[in-house]
Amino acid sequence: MKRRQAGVAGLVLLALVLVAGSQARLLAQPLTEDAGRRLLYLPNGRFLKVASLGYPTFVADMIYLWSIQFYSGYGNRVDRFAYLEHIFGEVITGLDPRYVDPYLVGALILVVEKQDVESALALLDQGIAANPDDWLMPYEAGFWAYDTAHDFDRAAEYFRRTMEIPGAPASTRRLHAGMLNKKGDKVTSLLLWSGILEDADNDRVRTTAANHVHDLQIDVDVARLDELAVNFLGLRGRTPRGTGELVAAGLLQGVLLDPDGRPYVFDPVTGKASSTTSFRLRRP
Amino acid sequence: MRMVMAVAVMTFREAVRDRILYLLLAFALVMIAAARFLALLTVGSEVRIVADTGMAAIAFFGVLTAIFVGVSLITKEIEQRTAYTILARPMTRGTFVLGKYLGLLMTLWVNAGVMSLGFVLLLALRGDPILPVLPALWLTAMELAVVTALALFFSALATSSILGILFTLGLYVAGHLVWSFPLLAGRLGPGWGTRAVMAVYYVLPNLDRFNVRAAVIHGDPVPLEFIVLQTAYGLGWVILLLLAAALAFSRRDLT
Repeated sequence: MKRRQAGVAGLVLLALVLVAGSQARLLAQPLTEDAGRRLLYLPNGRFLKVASLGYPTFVADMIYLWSIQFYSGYGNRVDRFAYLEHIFGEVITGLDPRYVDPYLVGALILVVEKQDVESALALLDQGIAANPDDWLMPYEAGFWAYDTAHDFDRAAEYFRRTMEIPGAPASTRRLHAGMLNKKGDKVTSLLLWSGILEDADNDRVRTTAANHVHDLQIDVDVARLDELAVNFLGLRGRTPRGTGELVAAGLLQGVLLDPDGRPYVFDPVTGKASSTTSFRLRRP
Repeated sequence: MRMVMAVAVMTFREAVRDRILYLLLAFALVMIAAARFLALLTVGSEVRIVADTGMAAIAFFGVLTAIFVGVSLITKEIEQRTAYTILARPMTRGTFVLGKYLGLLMTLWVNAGVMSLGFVLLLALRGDPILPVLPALWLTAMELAVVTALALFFSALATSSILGILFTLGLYVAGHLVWSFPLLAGRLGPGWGTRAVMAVYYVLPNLDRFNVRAAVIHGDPVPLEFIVLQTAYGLGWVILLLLAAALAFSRRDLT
């Protein structure tokens, strides 16, 4: 009996040595497999939805959790992004199109890690289409379009869409006005900033809006005066000396002063208008 | 009715002695508790992960219990010949089937109640809202009632537990894929194929409609009218399946 017990104990010991020893060696080996190969057969979310047998949101959760571990565990391997759009844009969000976090996290990885802002915006567009009442995705898309793509046109459009969604932060209106200014639509930007100034409910917003309105008013006035100076040159064959001459020529209804009440001046050679008042905000 | 209750109580006592019940319950409770740790691995969505994992665990293990314990109910009685002793008393086979059903449903609902209590406790400890998950838990209980009736029907019909489990699992899967049948019909185009698919669509119990977990985790309201209608839908299927089970069992040759 004792010999039998000793034999069993020996077998258990041998098995433990085999398992622990091989495991220790395996764990010490560097990860050599192809990251993309592991994902090659991961089907589209639409098919997984059928296979999930009534648990699509739970399967989406599990794949999302796995994806976070996957993208944080492969270091700087070149192929780690091979199926990123597939996982976030097709698998997880195919299982649950209303799952907002995968769109946001997927876009974040695409921009920061893969440096592919276009794919990130495409993923967020997909999320916006599936969740039209969620303001976070157009807001995020606007931020990436502005900060990374420097596409102020698209950023303005994303922020405009965000503004229309109930619950969006008040700052979106300011971001939208700021993007219009950056893309060169100063007139609309001035209108928006004037509205923000009117509705401001705290001193910080009021001061910011007032500064923008001040500088934009000068920009809009100068642009208008530049056009009128060209017309004046056509009429009189010389550049105007002040806005009074534009009024006298019938090009302007009254003398135009800048927001600080000072007159605009014209360069006698080029005819370009300018303000003697300093801008309140830093110019790019 | 006294006979029905006597069989139900006997079935309940017998079912709570079944080890598989405790095994599945333990698995479910471990999974519900694990939701707390899974939430640590995510970026955002902690509330969603906890709620979704908990509700999915209750539904999944509840259904597994209903199928594995439910199917063996009548077949085991026949194999062990205890059914003969019971049916020798002045009792119809329909009474026997109804008593068996109520006993098992009692077991499953107690089981689901324990799981739900663990889940609700977890939510309370995290400070997550509890009220929104209640419709999902109730409709899961109703789905269990239908699946139990389905398991009992196959238990009365099939000659072995394995066959009963396979049939019940098959119908459970099909019941959760009913939503995809109109899509399939759309692909087939007009003709007999489409008609056949749509016929199956209307005949099968649509178990996926008991699943409001997606609505709950997305914060959508589950209207009371929907809950009442879905409960009525479930009750209707339970009655139909129990009648079919009683009929199948009454025609079974036990000599």
